[in-house]
Amino acid sequence: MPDVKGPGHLNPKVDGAFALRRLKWAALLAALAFIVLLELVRRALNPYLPSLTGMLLMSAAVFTGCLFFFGALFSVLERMQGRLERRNRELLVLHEAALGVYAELALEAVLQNVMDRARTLVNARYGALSVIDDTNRIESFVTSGIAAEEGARIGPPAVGHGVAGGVLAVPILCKGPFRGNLYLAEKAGGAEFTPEDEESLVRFATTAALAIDSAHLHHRLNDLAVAEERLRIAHEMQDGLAQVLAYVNTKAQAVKQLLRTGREEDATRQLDELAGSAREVFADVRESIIGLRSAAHPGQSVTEALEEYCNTWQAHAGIDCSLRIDGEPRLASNAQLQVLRIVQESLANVRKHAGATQVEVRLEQTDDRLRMIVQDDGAGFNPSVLSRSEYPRFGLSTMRERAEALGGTFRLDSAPGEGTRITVELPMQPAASVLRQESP
Amino acid sequence: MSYRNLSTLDRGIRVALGLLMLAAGWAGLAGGVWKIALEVFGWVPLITGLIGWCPIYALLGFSTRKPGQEAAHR
Repeated sequence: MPDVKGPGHLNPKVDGAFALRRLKWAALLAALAFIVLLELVRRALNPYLPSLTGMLLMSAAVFTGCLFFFGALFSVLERMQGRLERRNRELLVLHEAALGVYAELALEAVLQNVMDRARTLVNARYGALSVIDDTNRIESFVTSGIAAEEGARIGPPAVGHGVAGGVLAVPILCKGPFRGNLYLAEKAGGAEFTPEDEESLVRFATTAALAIDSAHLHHRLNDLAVAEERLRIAHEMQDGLAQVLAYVNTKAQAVKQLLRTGREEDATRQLDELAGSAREVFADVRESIIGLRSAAHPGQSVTEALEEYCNTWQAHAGIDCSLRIDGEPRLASNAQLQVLRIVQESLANVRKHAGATQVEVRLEQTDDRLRMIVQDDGAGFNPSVLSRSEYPRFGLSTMRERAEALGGTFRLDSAPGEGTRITVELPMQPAASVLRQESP
Repeated sequence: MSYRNLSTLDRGIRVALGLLMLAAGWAGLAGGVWKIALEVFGWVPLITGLIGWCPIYALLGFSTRKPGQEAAHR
């Protein structure tokens, strides 16, 4: 947690129990003072008391005392209620801001979100959020309540910090590389910002800091996903392409040797094998390219990406592929990519090893889990006798790793002559956060 | 202070009125029971004027302060 201190932060004076105790003592003392004063008035009025005027005066004194007592009591209660209402509003805004973290993950969007909500929290007309880099220069500037042309007229923000009259400023401190300041100006209704406003804003800034940290982490996660993908491609090239090219080289040497010794038939056989290998690697490379292309659209849903991939794969592999998806799965973007990769690897196996005529890809949803099934009608195999050297080539371990990295499970069912079935179960995002994404 | 509900003008008038009432009572401008009435009830406008808070205003939710100077929680 960022070390943020503000006025009233953990201040016992704003503690409800403390205020109530103070109120009890005040009521007791006020009642005692009231009795003493009443007695003094009664003594002064004593000679006149039997008369009507005296009685009226005495009643007026009692009435005035009651007015003071209850007036004070109700005004204190009203203030306490006002404070509670304010806390409630503040908690609601904090709660919404926390939900906003799930709805928005792009840093700029989170900053704008933070700014808008801060402005609502303290009823300010204008708001600005500046982000400072390591050299204390303003890196980016987000405004709220300021029209674009007005912002252009005002020009870039001043570098540095300070608090002017009518402007409320609090720092946002994160664990990450982010450091910023929230500025709010012109409270609605012409009032001035109060210490309570500052208090609320400081508390809000702590939540905002967490939201911004989370956006930073998400950004880094995306970078990592890209790096991981590059690594995967490098491995694939190392395992597939490089090995085949080495094989082609060896074969070419052999053919040369055979031709030199006049064994033309053997050489032709070797050349046929060579052509077969080339075709195989060509199919692999094409499949990889299709796979990369179907993951390349950032705005595309996993359903659309799968449809596109399956259609292209079907035409390329010549195997009938049917896709059945019930509803759009609620998956984070990195999980969507992994689902796509698992399907791609499964289909690649079907093409290379199964000898199938039909394959079905199915995505089923329960409340919080997604089940993905890839089933073919091919030759099948006995998974328990899969040799060590064959195992990684099937990419099964990679698929299992992908599923487990997302907190899911991977299962392979196959038997000779009965086709192969791959089942992956993954946890999905809670429905609430997706709902918020759909209705901002 | 945030609890106040009287404007500066309101407070001035109250303080002046309270002092006048008390002075009239002490000076003996009125006699008998009215002298005591002035002496007792003169304190009411004086005190409310001095603390800037009127119980009747508070109970009725009324204020003569400008919106900007309103109670902080509003």
